[in-house]
Amino acid sequence: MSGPPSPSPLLAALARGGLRAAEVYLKTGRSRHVALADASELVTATEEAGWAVRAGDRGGSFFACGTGSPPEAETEWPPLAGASLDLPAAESGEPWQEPRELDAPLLAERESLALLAAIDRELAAELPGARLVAADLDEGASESRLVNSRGIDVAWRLRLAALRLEARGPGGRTRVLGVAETEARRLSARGLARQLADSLSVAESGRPPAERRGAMLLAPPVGARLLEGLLPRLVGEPAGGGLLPWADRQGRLGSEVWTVVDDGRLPGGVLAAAWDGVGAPTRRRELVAEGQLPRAGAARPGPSPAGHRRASWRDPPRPGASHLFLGRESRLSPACLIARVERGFYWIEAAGAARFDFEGDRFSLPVLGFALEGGRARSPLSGVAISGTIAALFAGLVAVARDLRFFPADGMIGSPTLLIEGLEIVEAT
Amino acid sequence: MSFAGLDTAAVARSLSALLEEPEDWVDAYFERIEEAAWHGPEGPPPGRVRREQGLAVRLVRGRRTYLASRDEIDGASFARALRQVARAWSASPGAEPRLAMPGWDEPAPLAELGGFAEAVETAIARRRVAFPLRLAVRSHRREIQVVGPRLVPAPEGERFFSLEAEMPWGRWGTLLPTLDTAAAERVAGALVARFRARQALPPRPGREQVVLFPAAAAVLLHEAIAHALEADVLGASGNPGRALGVKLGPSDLSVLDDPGSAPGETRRTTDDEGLAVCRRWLLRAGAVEQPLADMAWARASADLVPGAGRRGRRDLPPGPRSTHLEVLTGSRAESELLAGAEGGLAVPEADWGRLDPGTGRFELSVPYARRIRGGEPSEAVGRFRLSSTVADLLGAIYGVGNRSEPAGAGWCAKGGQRLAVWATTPALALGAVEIRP
Repeated sequence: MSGPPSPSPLLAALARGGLRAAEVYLKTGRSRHVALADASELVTATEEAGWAVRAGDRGGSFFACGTGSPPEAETEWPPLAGASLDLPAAESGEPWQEPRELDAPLLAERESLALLAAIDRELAAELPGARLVAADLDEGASESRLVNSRGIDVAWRLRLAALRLEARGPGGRTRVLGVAETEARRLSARGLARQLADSLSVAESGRPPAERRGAMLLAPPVGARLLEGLLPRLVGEPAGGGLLPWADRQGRLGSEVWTVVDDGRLPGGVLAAAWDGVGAPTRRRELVAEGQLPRAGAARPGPSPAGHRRASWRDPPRPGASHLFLGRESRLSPACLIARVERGFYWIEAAGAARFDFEGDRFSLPVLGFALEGGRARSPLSGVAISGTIAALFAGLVAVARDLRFFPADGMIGSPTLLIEGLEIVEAT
Repeated sequence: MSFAGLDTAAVARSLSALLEEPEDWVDAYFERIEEAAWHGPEGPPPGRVRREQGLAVRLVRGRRTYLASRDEIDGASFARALRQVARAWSASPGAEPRLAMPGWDEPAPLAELGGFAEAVETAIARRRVAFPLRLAVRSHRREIQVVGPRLVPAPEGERFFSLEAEMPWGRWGTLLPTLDTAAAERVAGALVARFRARQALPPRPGREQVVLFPAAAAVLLHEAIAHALEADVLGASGNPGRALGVKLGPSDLSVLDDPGSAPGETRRTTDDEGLAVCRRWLLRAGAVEQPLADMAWARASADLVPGAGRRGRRDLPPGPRSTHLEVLTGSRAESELLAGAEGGLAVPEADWGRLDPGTGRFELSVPYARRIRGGEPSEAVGRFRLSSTVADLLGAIYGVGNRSEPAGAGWCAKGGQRLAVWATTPALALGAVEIRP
């Protein structure tokens, strides 16, 4: 592999310039983007090479990034300002075995176009009259190297294929589906087409239900959207007190089924790596364990309960999820959970983003799905949102299935099928 | 100028070797970007600078576009991109062109950005209020050079500023052509108005008369007219040329896209495809005259004129976008518009607008407004949305103000391309439109 050049000379130059805390990040990558839209095709090949430096001393710090060679003269760096820079020290992580697929070649242009054409074909077969309006397949590989003045010198590689599909049904409704895998070869045209066809079919034939309460099954895409809505309180800035406002004095949040995990080295995870965005070893961290916050009375288990992410070399690292998921173990299949519901709802897709009003203790999420009767899916439902207090969301989770799936968001967000009670159904706005 | 060291003639010669069919289009795009940001003393680290340059080579053949981009500007990177776009290079590509770029000579304007943040805080304090506030001020500088096989337009450059404010009751952002005292006062005024309206109750759902002041009208027009008249949006539901002549608004509503009269240092003579921009009448007397089109859409439809191709990043192809919307002034003073909407809502600004191209439904999110009483904006009302179809919303415009004002419409992120869009518009009065919480 031809990775980034050694950042050590630059680190030494920063130290010579009197910057006692310094971090140098170098990234190279290559990707292929194939898109279909408006009866046209786009094939893009991108080669990326960027650097980023954070440095400072007691007088403040700066962040600089760019392409090409970083500045050599001290005078070319931005002036120091604000607080000093706090960098992590070198730490040894658990042994790490790089996934084999990191070395697999990217899908060729023809293969990429054939995959998108196959999805379009399968979609038309599943739901006559439906078609892809737009499709974007991005597949890329990158190498990162990070050194800092506290002894960190680490490198990692990533491999990611992201697919976004927009389809229109025979009735004119459109639905969007986004998925990510380590390799585009793992994407199944038939599976994706079925998922889109189901979603379009329900969106076009569904009606709002007469009943507005009942037990609800949330399929993985719906559960993941809810978890995504909670992200700012799970891994964001600690200013909002995390999830503490919903916990009792002992730090109990709600149902013991609530276990939220962030795992930067999740086996098979598309963002799995040995190191995070500041060079700290990745690990499995329980942000909520069986309904309990990590330390009763503590606002946070640390400055970043998950790890740190770098969206690209253009951005400073920030607290962020890698693979964040509802991690309660289960042997139950989704069918077992469906069979438990005598009368209720099965929401298979989110029809938009979740809205969380943390100050007002409310959330809502537009959904599509079916009415459940006697453990069977009946009439299709759409045009509604599930809603309630955030406290009810924590209290009402009854059980999870074993079908954990991940979806691309700000990191990868995962959820199995959830059985939840105590939520309401409102008109989608 | 940064591109003086590019041997554009050699680039053009190399590009011409890619042309195989009469309808082939090929170009090279060179880009140099500097973004400096001041995040306030508590934001770690407060001073941030990004300086990057790169290139892209594009070949359009039939319905397929090939694009290769690199994060370097040098002969070897250009030659690799060219080979990648050519895919099967039948003959020797020739010598690599000389592509020399100068260093970054000027320091990033961090002190200026920090000074502006202080000026805003001082202007807020002068209004005798204080509230938690985090300001991020950025400068944006971009230089581009497009080279075609036959034409090499002059390089283009743009420079402007942006500001983001984070408060306990929400975020607010704006684009600024310059950082001067007047801009600091405007920003302070907008932030204080949000602070004072933070606990106001939203209006009841229903239908209300509304007067949109320039900053709010700019967001409405960008979403409801500019986006609706982009050739790719129109093309999603058929031939974009069919939109010509369609009556979208009242007769006293005329809207242009004129990159040549954009504010400050954002003015353009060519677009991001190197094609001349024009004073484009999107709506003349309420009827669609010339939708926004880039080269690809103009080649596909004889009714469309290119010159509105914009690209937010070198690794993405250009698309048809507006740059600077201009609404011709009408005959009514703002006081007349307010008097004519007694009991309705005066809307100083909008957070965002959203158009669903499939259904034509449009929403405008309003952070706060003021109830119009006695022909004046009076008590505040809280957050709500205007909701309608584009046709109904534009059809509801019954008055156009006689004083226009430059207003940065904001960042547009359509298709993952983040672009600054500008507007110069008067106030607009709308008849009963639907209000939702």
